[in-house]
Formats: sequence, C-alpha cells, structure tokens
Amino acid sequence: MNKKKTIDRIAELIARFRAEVETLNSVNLYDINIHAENILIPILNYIYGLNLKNANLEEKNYSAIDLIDIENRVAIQVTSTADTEKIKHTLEQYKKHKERDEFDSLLIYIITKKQKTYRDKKFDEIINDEFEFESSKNILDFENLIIELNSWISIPKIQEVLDLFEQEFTEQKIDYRKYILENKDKLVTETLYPNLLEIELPKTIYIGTIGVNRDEIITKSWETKYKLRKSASDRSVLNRAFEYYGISYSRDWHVFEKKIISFKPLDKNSEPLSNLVETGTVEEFTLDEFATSGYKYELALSSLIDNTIQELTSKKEIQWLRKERMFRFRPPKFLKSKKITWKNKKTATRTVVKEVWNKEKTQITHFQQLSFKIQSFLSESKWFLAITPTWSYTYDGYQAHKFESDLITQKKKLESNNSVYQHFMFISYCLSNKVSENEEDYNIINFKEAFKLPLTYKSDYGN
Amino acid sequence: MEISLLKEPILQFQNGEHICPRTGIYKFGVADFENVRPDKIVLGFVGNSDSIGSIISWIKSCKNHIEPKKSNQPNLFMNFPGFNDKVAFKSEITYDESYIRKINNSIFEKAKKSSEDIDDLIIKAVDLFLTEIKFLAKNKNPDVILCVLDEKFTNMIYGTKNTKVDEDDEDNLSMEINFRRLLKAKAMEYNIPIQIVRDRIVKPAKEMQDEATIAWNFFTALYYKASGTPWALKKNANSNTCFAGISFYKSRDKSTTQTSVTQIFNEQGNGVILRGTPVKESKKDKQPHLSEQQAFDLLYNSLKEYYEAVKIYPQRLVIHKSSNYSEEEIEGFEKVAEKMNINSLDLVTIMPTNFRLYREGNYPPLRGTMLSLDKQRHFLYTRGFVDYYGTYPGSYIPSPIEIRLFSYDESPERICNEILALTKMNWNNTQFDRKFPITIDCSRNVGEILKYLGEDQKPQIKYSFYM
Repeated sequence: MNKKKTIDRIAELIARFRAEVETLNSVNLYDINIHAENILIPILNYIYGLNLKNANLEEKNYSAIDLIDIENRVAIQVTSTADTEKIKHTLEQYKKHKERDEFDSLLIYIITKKQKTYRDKKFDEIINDEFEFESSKNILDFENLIIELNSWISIPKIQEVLDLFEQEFTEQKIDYRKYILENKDKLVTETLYPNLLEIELPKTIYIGTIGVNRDEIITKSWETKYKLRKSASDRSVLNRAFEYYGISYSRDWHVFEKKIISFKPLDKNSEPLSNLVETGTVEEFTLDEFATSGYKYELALSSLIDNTIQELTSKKEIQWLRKERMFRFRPPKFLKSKKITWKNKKTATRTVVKEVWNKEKTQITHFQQLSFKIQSFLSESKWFLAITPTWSYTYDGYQAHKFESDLITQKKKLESNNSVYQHFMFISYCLSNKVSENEEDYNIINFKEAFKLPLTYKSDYGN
Repeated sequence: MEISLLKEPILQFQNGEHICPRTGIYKFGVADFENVRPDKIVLGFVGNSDSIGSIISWIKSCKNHIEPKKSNQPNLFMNFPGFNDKVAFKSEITYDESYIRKINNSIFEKAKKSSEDIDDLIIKAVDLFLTEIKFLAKNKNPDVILCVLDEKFTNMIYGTKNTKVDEDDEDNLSMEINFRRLLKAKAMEYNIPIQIVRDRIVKPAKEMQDEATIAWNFFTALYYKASGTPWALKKNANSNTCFAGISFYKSRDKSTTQTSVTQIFNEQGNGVILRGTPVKESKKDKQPHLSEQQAFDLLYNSLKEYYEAVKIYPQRLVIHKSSNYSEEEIEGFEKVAEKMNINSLDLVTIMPTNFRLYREGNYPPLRGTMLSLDKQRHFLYTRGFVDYYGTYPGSYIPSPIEIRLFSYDESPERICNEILALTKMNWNNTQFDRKFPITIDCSRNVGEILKYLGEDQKPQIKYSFYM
C-alpha cells in the first residue's frame, strides 16, 4: 500500500472509532472513554515515541490524568468532551492535585473532534504561570495524528501505525467493547501479573574471532586437576584462557560460529575480554541487525543474554547451576540462614537460605534455598525474561539432598498463587537492585518494571 | 501484550447446550440420541471370579442414583443419575453368563511361579487375558470387553518398569514393559475396544475419586467405546472443520528414530488415527521433523481414511503439533490442503511453557485466560480457577500452554477458543478442565500403545482402542 492509501485507511479507522464513541455516548454509555485510553496507549507511544501507561494502574492516584509517561514527564487526559468547560476542569484538577510537579507537559486528547479554536485567556487565569499550556499545542485530536503521519517519510513505519489501528478495530474488538459496556454492572476487573520482565540491553553487540592459542591452553591444563580433552568445546577452552592469560574472569560472552560475541567492547584494550579475540577482527552490530539476521542469530543473542544475566547474578551471591540450568541463592560463608531486605509495596525481609533443623532441634539436617529458572526470548523487537521461581534443598548449600525432588513437591503443594507471585517480585527486585551494600556495579543489562495487566470479565456463576 | 478471557466453550447435547458434560448429559441427553447409537451395550468380562463378581454387582448398583460427594462447590461433584434406559445416557448394559470369561487363580499362580521377573509375569498375564479376549471376540462379539484387575495383581504388575538407559552401552538397552499398553496393543487385532478396570473402584478409598464421579467417568468412557457420542462441540459456523494432531513416538528401545502418527477429529469427536513412517531427529533443534514427502503422505493418507470413515472432506483444517514446523513440513501440509481443496489451513504448535500469570489472592488465573505476546505467540490457561466449579480443582499453581501460530487463516482468538473446547473432548474424564486438547492428549496415548505394536500389525483407526 502506498503512503496516501495507508494514511487514508488510518483516517477511516479513526472515523469509525469516533462513530463508535458517539453512538455509545448517545445512549449514555460513557465508559467507552476508558477503552479509548487503552486503545490510544500503543498508538500514541508509537507515533510520538512515548512510553505511556494507564495511570489507573499506578498505585498513586492521579485524579486529572489518564495516561502518564514518567520518563518523558508527559501526562495525558483522554476525553470525548471537547468544550472549554471540560478543559478548564482538567486544568483546575491538574493544578489542585500538584500533578504539575511530576510532569513537564499536559496534553489533552479529544477522541471526538476538538473545537476549531479555544480562548487561551480563560485557561491562563487558571494556570497562573504555574505550568505551560497552549491550546494549539496541547490539545490534540485525530487530525494532529494524521498531520504527524503525513510528515513521516518511512512507509513501513506508517504501515506499523495502521497495523496497530487494525488490531483495535476488528469486528470482534468492537463487539467486545460494546458487550463490556452493556454488562458493566456484572463485570469484574482485576489485575494480572505476568512473570515477565522487559530487558534493557546495550544497543551494540561486538563480534570478534577467537584469538587464543587453543593447543597451548589444552596442554597447559594437563598440569592441573581439570584436564581438557583435545576435542574440548571452544567455551571450555576459553574458560581456561582467563587463567592462562591472567585476566579477570567473566561470563558475559558467548561463542557463536567460532567467534566471541559480547555486549562489552571487545576492541578496547581496557576490556579484559579483548585479550581473547584476534586484534583487528572485531565488528560492531546493532542488536536489531544481529537478531533479525536469522533464527540462529536470535538464539545466539538469547544465549548471550543468559550469560550476561549469569554475570549479573554472580555479583549478587546467586549461583548458576549449569547442569540443572537454574539460579540459586548462595548461603553465607559461615553456613547459616540468609535474609534479604527488599521492597514491593512495603519494605520486608525474605529468607532466601533457611536452616532446617531435626525434630530434637539438635542438628541442622539441610538447607532450603530459593531458586529460579529463566528464559529469555524476543517478541516484536523487544527482549523479555520469564522468571520461574522454584526451590532447592541441599546439605551444605551446594550438594543436593537425596530426597530433593520430594521436598520440592511437598513445598510447592503448599504454595498459593500469591506466594509464588511474591517470589517472582522478590527475584525481580534482586535483579534490578543492589542486594547488599558492597555489591559491585554492573550496568550492562537492566530490567523494566514488572507488567500489570487489567482483565475485565463477566462472572457467569458469581464465583 | 494483550490479555483477555475466553468464555468456557459450550458442548452440544441431544436437546440443549451446556458447558459441563455431566449436567449436559443429565439435563439434555447424549448428543447422538437421534442417531444410531448404543442404547444397549453388550459387555464381555475377563478376570478372576471374585473381581468380576464385585464389578458386576457394582454395575448393577449403578443403574440407580448415586449421591454426590459433599462439598462447598456443588458443581464440582455431581450426583450420578444412574445408567439405565430412563435417564441421562438412556442406555443399558446387557450380557449373560456366556460373556463372562474367568481366569482361575490357580492358573495365575502357575504363571507367577514360572516367571523369571516382573516383566515376564506381565507378558504372561497379558497372554492369559488375550486368550479370553480372543474367545469372546470370535464367539460372542460384545461391544466392549472389561478386563477386571484385582488389587493384589494390580499392585504387582501395574506401572512401568523404566530403568535408565546408559547411552554408551547399547547392549544393555532396556525395554519398558507396561501391562496396560501391552494389553491394549495386543488386543487390537480382535477389533473390540477393551476397558481395563480395577476392582477397587467398587469401594473407593479416600484418596480416590468419589463414587458418583467414578461412575460418571466409567460409563461415559464405556458409552464412547461402544461407538456412542456422549457430547459434541457446539458448531460455530457452517464450515466443516477438522482438527489433526501430529506427533511422534519413540520406540521402546529409546533409539533416536521416532515414528509419526496423526489423529483427526471433527466436532463430534469422530475421527481416525494413522501411523506414518519413521523419522530421524533433526540435529538443529533436537526434534523430529517430517520431510516434505512424509508430511504430504501422512496428512494425505489420514484425510483419505477420514473420508472413508465420515464420507466428507473438511473445508477447514487445523493442525496441532507438539513441536515447531520445519519449512518442509509446511510445504508438505500446504500441498495436501491445495490438493484436497481445503480452503483454510492453520498450523499451530502447542507446547508447555515457563510463562506464568499471577493473580491477586490465593487462586490462580481463570481457565480461559489468554495472553497474546504478539500475533504469533499466545499463552492459554486451560487449567486454573473454574468459575462454574467455584474453585481451582488442582494443587500447586497451574501452568498455561504455549500456542504458536506458524501460519493461520482464522483469528488467534478463534484458534485458542477451539483449543480450549478440545480440552473438553476427552471421554475418559467428565471434569472438563484438562490441560491439553484431545488432539495432543490423544497423540500421547496413541504413541504409548503403538510402540508395543509390531511393524506388520495394522493399528486400529478409532481412538476407543487407545484410551
């Protein structure tokens, strides 16, 4: 489809949405505006490069605004009423609740059609120079979206916007919205929390040809306790190369087609990993370039992310168990229980390593340790991490208890949905925050806040 | 990322619809009431005298109403209305003395004494049952044969001996021997579905299901095995849709070669099962994949068999597979669709996942909760809090299934809705919250039994021989 046709189709869908809003409003079903908020989030985010969220999902109560972008300090009120009174009311509320302190701009998005002009003087009386607001700039409607799109050169990007609109305006979605509005009194809304975190990665990935003397490292290993075979994998040889070249060990690299890939600058002499690659062979790629080169590149990137997370957790006294492919909280050097202070809604402490005593309380029989598995994956050019909490039972923090699987089953049977959710939130906290005061900095990988998804449904049996 | 709740799929009965198989049968009658159906089920019995005696008196007692288990969740446990010609199934059990084939205790003891080990005993016990099944099949031809196991015997031979195989030691490969699977495989050649039943169901222990639920499950399975249709999926549109499950099973020596198998179901739960050819595991993703020709042959032959059975070709075909699709598989399946004038084809992968959703409070998300990560990847809670039951009937938090759409003509919502509906098409169970759809569930059962079947033996095409 060419640019004009694509934009025409977008305009058509917007018109359809306006009609939907107007029809429902005419029969006093004003809650369509709530849906409008959710429909607009991905669209405004894409068009204006924002990171808007629904303000209702935040713990803090925002009274005058519907959508917020904390990073960019933008607040948006979504409304179907275009008159001056409604704008004045919004401005008053915004001012009264001191929301102006948190944001730099307040936008008002009219889902029907804005007036041709507004008298700014009336607004200035309310604003009283406390924040900036100009009706021509800060009040938007669909025409502003179309003008913005018309200024774009990239057709695929405009097509993406159309795709977003098409998703929202299938017959099914429109019927669903109508159904929800008509059954409003019987509906329940609750929040669900996926066990996912969005991963924030560096923009660049470095690739360099392996530049170590393989044979020498293997023969040298024969002088030590852990002897390498001639056929040893590149990763095993490289693991020993750190010791061989006397450089500090790290896990945040991956071997891919006889090359090392890492988020660390392999071409900088100050970077220890640069000792492992052949000088002059290092190339840089953007993440998107690399991941979209093919499925095996995506898999390689996923492995690199896993290894980078292993490096991160190693700073946090969390062990990586290669065979079990899971992470486990490590006990303190002097073997005993361990607690970590964290914050979700309130500050609390959580026991990550627990001593288990015999009945007579004379002896510690084993340790219970919080553990978790991870899986990283790509979806629509964003990387996500799924975290699954589990448990581990050991005699000394390391060696598995002989009835470990039975003990895990017993423990899990007693755990409710809420307790597993708390484990997930705790683990997410540990990945994003320092767990102890002397934890070393590691900023290569970061995680966004956990998701909150509202789900509205009708309970047929009232349970 | 988008979340929604799919409605509990509706099942079709004789003169009404309901979401619950038990309530539906009780209130509205079995789905095939107007058709040729098993209004009399002729049963054959094989087992020791005492066990058969107690099962027969239990079956007689099930003609009458059985009280439900007392519970705060009234819909989770329902009374059993009785298996008779007046209510619910409106069908009767018939047999006479000549349909009862007893295995004397002394013969069994002899077999036990002469057995080398437990595997040997299993093989000998299967032979004892087979002799009687063969007799019944040749002389009496009942609809279903009940193989009744007494508890002592069950404890001895039930379960799978499954020792770990050391991959380097090929001489020492162990074969798993499982009584149930071996008996089902060997009995197949006599063309009568069998139902294995333990005599302890007569007096259920505390850890077992309650009396009414046992009766519901037993008689539903029996009705289906006698070629009945207890319930069907509610037809959505006028189009004729078929669901094919494609899976692979490993031979008993655990070699890397796997055999492909397909099962085709329609909305009535009727369908065919067909064994394909052996395939090698791909080195790339450690999963078995069909070549283009194999994919073509497997699907083409299955659809031809399906046509023979129901005399109609589907207009729409949905393929459920427990692994990803290779390019060649896609090519092969698409060619079949083209050749057979199937105008809509959906290629779907259904597999376990690490993804979870947490809900506020103690209960897990509702069954039917669907999270769409993008257009291709969806997660569906098939087990979870069931509004109709008012509880989550399970222990530990449930995990959803991952649904990947490789190519699709219908909307993801519809495809997931159908998967949710197909979790209810298992006639071994009248509680409707199974984790996997019948297409995938069936493939597991079928594979487990087919691996006991010789290469020259022709597998039965009906699911009743495998469940």
